[in-house]
Amino acid sequence: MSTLLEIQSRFAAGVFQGSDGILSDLADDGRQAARFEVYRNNTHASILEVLADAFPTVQTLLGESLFTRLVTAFIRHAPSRANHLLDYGAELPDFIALSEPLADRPWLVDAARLDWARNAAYGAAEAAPMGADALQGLTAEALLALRPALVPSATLLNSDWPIHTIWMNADALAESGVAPRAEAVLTARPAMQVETILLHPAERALLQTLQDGGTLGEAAVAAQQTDPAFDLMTAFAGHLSAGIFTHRKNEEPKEN
Amino acid sequence: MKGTITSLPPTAGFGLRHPHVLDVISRPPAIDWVEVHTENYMVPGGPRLRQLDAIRERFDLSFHGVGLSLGSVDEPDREHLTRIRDLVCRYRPAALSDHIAWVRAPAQVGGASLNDLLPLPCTEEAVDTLARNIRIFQDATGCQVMVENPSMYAAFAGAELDHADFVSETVRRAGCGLLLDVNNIHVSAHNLGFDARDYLARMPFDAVGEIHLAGHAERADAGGTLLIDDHGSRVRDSVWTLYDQALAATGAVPTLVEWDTEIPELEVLLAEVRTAQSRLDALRPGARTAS
Repeated sequence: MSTLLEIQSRFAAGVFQGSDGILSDLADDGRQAARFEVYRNNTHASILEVLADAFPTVQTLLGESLFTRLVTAFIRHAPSRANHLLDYGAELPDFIALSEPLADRPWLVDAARLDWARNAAYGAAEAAPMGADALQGLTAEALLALRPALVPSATLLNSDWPIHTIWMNADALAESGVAPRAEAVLTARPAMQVETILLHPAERALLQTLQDGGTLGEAAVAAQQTDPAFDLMTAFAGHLSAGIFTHRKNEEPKEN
Repeated sequence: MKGTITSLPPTAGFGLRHPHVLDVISRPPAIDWVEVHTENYMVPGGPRLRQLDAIRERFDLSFHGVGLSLGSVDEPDREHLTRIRDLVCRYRPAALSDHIAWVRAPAQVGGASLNDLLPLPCTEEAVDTLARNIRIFQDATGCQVMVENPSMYAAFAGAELDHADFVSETVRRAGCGLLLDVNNIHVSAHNLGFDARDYLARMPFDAVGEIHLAGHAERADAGGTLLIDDHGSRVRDSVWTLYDQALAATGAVPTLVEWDTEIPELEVLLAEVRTAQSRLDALRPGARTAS
């Protein structure tokens, strides 16, 4: 008589490694191998569905059959250790980066990072957005010393590949491949919708500096160094009204 | 005892899934309660939680978990329990449940999630393990919980109890409620070759706080058909018949229609809910025959 520990260990090995030690634990009715196969298939199908939902761009770029092979290898390499799979897939971009068969499509790594950023943004923590009123009445000096944070759902992604174009046109690019051209995107869920927008290089420098904890003055310098002609105030005001910024902890506006 | 297991009204509801959420918020159907999968709301913020806030304003909630892995040799994950407790505090559900099943591999071999409700051997060790874990679940949430009888495709060798005794002993030793899934009884009885009516007749009816109904699929199998518990179609006639047998023993019990794959228009689901409700309405108030 096997213990529960033995049965569950052999069952999991049967699902993930394809070993058949579990079959001797099942009632011998001549169908046990076929019946165990149902569990193996259901398990793989359910995890595949989770990752297909989280990585739609990668799935489109690879096609269903190659994506399924990728997921099968990933499950074996890095199975979920949590009781639910809402957070499962965070390691898939790095796994793709190390995948030899996918090395001829290096843009897939950033496509996976963008998919993951969008997936994470949907359920990310909420934060009160910084409104335009936070800037009213500030002296120029005080304005430049301000250190707005990005909302918790925000992710900046700098890519050597045209990542925004890839995300928008994954269907077409699945066939043609992608030529290298740098693009940066911001993904965030300022309200109820997850949004991904293409960033001007100077705008990227601005937001990156703020995300790293810099002041608005430092961010302005970084943006100007990237492109002296860049219209900093319009870009900042646009992100402010879109609700991308929030107050840094301990820097909440004081009640009067 | 029934009143302590759940404060759901004894009417028919349905399992609320993502494609129907906005519909249900904008045009609330005339039902009292819905059930959601607890794990789908284990996020820090965002639309899911906001939508559930709106649902909660209009309906009673049943929180049905799929991830606690109560049948695991290991004790339930503390962080997962904390997340459940936080959701219970925020949404005050009228019922809380999970499954007689295991989901995670033993910690000793890595603890990977298999993301599926897996079968247990009908042994004393498995009953005791379930009872221990269910008590931990109840202690951590401060609720009396329900566990759902399993749907199975394969049985283990070396059974020490039969399938019905396995479920009723688990409920008795844990001191919890039973979420009686009538479709699971039909599916398991067919697949494992036992008598569904006999199994149902031996359930602990006093502990039943909710009944589940769902559709299943048929698949060709060596020497016959295998029934797959896919929740992807209307409730079959054979399952409605078992439901009538269950109601004759339990009286009116909160009843839920589940539909998880090939999810249809909301109206199709609501028609199934009305069928269940008409069977509940047909019971004489308070009628409860001896089991």
